[in-house]
Amino acid sequence: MAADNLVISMESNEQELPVKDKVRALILQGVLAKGGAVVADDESLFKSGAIDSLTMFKFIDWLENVFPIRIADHEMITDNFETINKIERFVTAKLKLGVDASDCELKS
Amino acid sequence: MRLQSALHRFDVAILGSGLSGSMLASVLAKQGVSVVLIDAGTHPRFAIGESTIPHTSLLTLLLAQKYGVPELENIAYPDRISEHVCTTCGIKRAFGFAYHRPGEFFDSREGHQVGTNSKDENHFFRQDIDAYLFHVAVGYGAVPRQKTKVAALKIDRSGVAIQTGSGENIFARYVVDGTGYESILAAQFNLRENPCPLKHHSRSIFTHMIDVTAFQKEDNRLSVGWDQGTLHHCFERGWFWVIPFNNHERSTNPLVSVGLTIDPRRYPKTDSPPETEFRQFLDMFPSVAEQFAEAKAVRPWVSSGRLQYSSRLTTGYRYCLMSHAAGFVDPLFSRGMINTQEIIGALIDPLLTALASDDFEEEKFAAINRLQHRALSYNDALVNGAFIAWSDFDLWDAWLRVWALGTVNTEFRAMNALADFTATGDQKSLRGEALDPVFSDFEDPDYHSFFDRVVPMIEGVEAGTVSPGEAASHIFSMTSEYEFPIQLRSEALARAGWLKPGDRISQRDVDFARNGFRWALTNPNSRDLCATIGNLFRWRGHSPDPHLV
Repeated sequence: MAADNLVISMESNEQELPVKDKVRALILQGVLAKGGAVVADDESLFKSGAIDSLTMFKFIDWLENVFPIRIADHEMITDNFETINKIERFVTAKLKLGVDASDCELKS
Repeated sequence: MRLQSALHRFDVAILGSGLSGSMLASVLAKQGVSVVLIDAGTHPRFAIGESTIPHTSLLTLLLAQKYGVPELENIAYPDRISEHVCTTCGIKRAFGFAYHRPGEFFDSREGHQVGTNSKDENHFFRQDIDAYLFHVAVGYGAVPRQKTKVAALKIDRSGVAIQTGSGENIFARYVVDGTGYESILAAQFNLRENPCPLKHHSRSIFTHMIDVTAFQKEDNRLSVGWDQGTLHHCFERGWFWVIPFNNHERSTNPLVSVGLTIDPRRYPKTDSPPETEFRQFLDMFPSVAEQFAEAKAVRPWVSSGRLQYSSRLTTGYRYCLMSHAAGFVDPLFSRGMINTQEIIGALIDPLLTALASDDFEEEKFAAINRLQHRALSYNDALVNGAFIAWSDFDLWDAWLRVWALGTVNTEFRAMNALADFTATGDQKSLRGEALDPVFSDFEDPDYHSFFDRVVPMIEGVEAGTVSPGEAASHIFSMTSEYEFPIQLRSEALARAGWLKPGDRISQRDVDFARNGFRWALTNPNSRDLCATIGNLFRWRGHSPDPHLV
């Protein structure tokens, strides 16, 4: 299943990989596991058939496991999640706010 | 092996071995009740009532869970149907409503899609589903009497005496009539209301066809392909249904169920052959006609008279009419099978109690009679409202919300009931919160009040006391006076099958989905009501559908 694959592969990934590579790897595995086509970094994940809602929800939960961040409800907006580039920007900005970022919130 | 031919005495005789009769027979037989299923015909056979809604399947799952009949679960999911039942059924990922004006091509801004959000739904190829259920019933011990006509039926204090056309005498303690429109009991006890008091008027022309092409294949602006669900082409005082059986990846069935339902007061029945009349309506709506350019009927067209009928009584001493024997409104919104499910679910416990105590007095079943009238009245007002609403797109956009607020909220509440009942076995979880429901025990507690206010509004349009624009605006503003929370829960999504075993979504994600959904359901700028991830994010940001901007 997509979920198991994703978890396993992230655990085996090098922690030093850049944020974007991790995000891309996770997203592409989720998309491909569901029979979708490869998406470019600036391509909308929200276009029809790119990624289903369950995979996206799991992906967002995994972001919180892989990176030391907490994502608040009001940060769940299109501008933060629509493309791999936007997710990278969002995660990078969250990380800059500090390792213990549970109280830090970005654009909403 | 039981010597069935020697058996003449049963607890329950069920007339008609279609979907309702066979499903009821399966459950009763599983509980140890001796059941005879009497049918004038045999399986397989043509039937309509093909499109399920989440509420239908959730009640089927509840029935399977509550009474330990797991075979019923197989007809609640497209994948399970294709694995365990047949490969002739279609998938319903959304309700699609395309609004049409005579002589004009469809404008995608006047389309709605409402996802079947708890899980994918089904287009039942009834001949195979009904036969499957019949075989399940027989498997649990229901005694079949096919090609058996009821020549005479008498109910008295000693029980129900049935004489068959072949001269067999069958005695039962209770009789259930699942023979539909031509109900044996309705005729016998003169139960039909004549004239029919229902407000709605429609007649129908229908068949099964091949070579029906997908609607808007190249130009779809909404989330789901229009061929991936039940498609309603709506126009003033009428609608076409398009129900593909060929749209599931494992389907081997090329057929599509096609029908036209129109108000005979606006479009009186003519002497034209049904297919000619159908083509005349296609000529009025060029985008609908495109779908049928190459389509060919594979069975004789049926042209009905007025579809609506009702009964003054639907239960009595030692008898009960199933939903379609009791009455019918219109296939719009696929509410036929859900009513059947509700009646089956409501009948079983009182019937088991009556059989145990040998007390079949009418009042023990009076609640079922009220339930039947409730279902018919709601459906009548809802469909009548839709036929009025199709005079004006904005009014229809508003009325669609009235339907959606009923069905979507009920679906999530029924899903929660299924999860709770599965986890605890506690019957209290099956009661729902609505104290005085207008159509379902699982509806939102405020829905009845809301519905009672919007119905006079739309009927005022027909009476000319309010303009369509005013009514539309009032209905939209009334939706904001009620909370109508979407009762979405992770564990309920798991039980219904939307989440796979072991999957979970966080409470944050659940809240994200439900809050946006509530907004979208009642906002005129949101007509793509499928819970795709793009829509969920857009709803959360209160952004209009991109194709409306």
